[in-house]
Amino acid sequence: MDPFARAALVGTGRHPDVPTPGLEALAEGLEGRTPERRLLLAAGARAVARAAGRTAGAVAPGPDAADPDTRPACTPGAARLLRRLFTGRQAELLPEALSRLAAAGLRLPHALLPMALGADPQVREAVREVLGTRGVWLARQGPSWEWAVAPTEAEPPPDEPSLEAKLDHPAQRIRVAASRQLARMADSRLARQMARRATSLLTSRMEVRLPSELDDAWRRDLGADHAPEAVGRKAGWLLRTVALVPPSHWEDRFGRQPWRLVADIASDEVVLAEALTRATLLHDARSWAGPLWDWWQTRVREPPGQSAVVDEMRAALLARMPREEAERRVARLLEGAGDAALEALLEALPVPWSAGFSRQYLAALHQHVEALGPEATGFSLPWQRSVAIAGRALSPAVLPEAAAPLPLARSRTLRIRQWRARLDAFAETTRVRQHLVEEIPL
Amino acid sequence: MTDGVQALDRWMDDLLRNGLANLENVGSAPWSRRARRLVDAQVPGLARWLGSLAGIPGSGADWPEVLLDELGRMALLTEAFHRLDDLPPPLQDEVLRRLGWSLRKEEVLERGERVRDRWVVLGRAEEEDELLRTRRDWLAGLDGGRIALLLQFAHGSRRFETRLDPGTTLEGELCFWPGSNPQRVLVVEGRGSEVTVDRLPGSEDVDAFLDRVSAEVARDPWARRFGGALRQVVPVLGEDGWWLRDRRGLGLPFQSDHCWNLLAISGGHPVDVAVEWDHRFLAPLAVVADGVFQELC
Repeated sequence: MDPFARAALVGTGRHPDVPTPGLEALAEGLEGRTPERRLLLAAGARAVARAAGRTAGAVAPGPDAADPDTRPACTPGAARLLRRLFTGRQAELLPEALSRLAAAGLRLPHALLPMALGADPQVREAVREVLGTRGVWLARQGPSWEWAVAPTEAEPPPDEPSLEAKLDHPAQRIRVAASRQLARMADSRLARQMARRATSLLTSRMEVRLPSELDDAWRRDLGADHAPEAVGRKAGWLLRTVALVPPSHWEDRFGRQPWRLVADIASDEVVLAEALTRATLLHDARSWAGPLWDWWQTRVREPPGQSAVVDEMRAALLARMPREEAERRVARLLEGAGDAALEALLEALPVPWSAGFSRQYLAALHQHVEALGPEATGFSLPWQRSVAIAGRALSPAVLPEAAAPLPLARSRTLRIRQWRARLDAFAETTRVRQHLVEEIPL
Repeated sequence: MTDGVQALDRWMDDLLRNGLANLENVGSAPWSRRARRLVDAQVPGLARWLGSLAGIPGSGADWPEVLLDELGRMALLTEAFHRLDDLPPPLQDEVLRRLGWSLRKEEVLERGERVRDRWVVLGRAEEEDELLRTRRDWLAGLDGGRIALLLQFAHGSRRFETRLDPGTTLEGELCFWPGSNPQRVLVVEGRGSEVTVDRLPGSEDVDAFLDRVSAEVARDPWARRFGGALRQVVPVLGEDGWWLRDRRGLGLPFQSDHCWNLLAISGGHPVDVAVEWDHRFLAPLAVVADGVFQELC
């Protein structure tokens, strides 16, 4: 610390001799003043002298300058919109905005790059596509932006021996994951053996024959032993075993098409249907998705307290179908009060929806809102919740139509007020999306 | 007024006699109490200055030095006030203005120097406390090279009286507040252009900028904010913080909430940067890169 500051800190009461290094001429002019005043005036003079005599310091050069960007930046209007989304308002539209930017062959403006690099991890992949040369250059210098620099290395496909070894891992999570990966390797030992084991559990009429006991090798290959909740122990073995086997195995084995096989599943064989559904998801067996969905939709005799499984299976299968097929199935549910799982099912549809389905949804919404009346009779929570999903998912082509006001009653009942708030948010979302479409034309 | 200044002198003497170390744990109460007395004594300028020092004690390893600098400069001001009649009239204006002696608009127009030029609005700094918003727009004359400050205050959500758009040019006449180092201006008349500039008029290197600062400090030792532009500098993140580096490899440190934005916009290439210097750090306000003006906000 310099002598002035030390003297000031301690106080002239204790240290009346004020040093005046370099300021002797000034000190003479201060003769006769109190020590405090002398210290203050000398410090002031020194501060002014330093300010006036400030010199520039030598600065080491930074890293090499960035190469020019190859893609153009978006318009200032789009930049304003993106800034708003990055700052958290309507952030749920960020993925759409970023992928639109990428599809239009554009990149983020440089001024938005720090904000984009600091965005939530969920949008990083989308951000990476529009960083441009400058964004990667900046990320290299940033505090925690390595994710944008390193190319995403595809993990090397695991080899069978290492996965086999993991079947003996103490953590069940690791064992189950290894078992699933081995099941997806067409000619792995586990896949072959599991198909053989599964065969013993099903007849050609899709009747279940539960195993009486599992041998140790079978148990090991499943990765887990205990049954999921609400399913018996033996049914749990069936569930885990059949879920690992590619559904095409049954087509080959029984020489029948998926829809015929699924039609044979008894309406109370929920465990078998779940097992085949999980197998469909694991092996991406698209030709099974439709028939199984229909089984869950129309055939299932729901065991008490199990509706969550039904909803989960339906939503998961929707995501595996071609878009038109999925939309056609959900469109049937848009009539009436609405399926209890409407929200989950709409959420499972690929985004954005087709223009046709979007119009069907808007028409059904219009009808539903109109039918509510001032007391919101026929109130449906799934419908009310669906508008938030629709706001994000509607086809860009119908956004202008979505701006048309809906015939909501003018009453002030709680339910109507809730509806109004939802519809206002819906209108705001579709307005911002329309703005996006205009600012980032494809 | 004189009573208030003398009371402040005694208060500062007491501080120094007892030692600044005592201030670290007393909070802001003594500062605001003393500032209120100064307001009552009709020296609002000193009151604001004193109030702004409350945050210094304990704010960093070098706080005693920073605080002593401020108090020392304040003592120079009260000293100048006691000997006001010995000072040249333009310096008297600076001293009185700092104490809080405000001029009416008519007086400024009557006594101030009027300068006609094409004024580029370099950039804007804004500060806000619960009651008052302060806006500083810095302008540079394209022909005469003068730097001007449009300082405005607005209460609550009210608008500022004069609106300038950073990056645009105002062709017209400004009137400088009278004083030994005229910075602050009134817009007498002017016509704004919508077009934004594609380069900033300013200092070609950091030394030239500091020469200007020295000249201003010589005319007004209490001057503490210096607007301007640095031409063709590169923002660099060093071990010890951010620097603006000129083409000769010399530089000054900068601080801002927008350091990374400035780096992103420059990409390591030289850019023109509008700045405000406070004797310690530059604050970057706006930047021109590839001929495009952008505010840093």
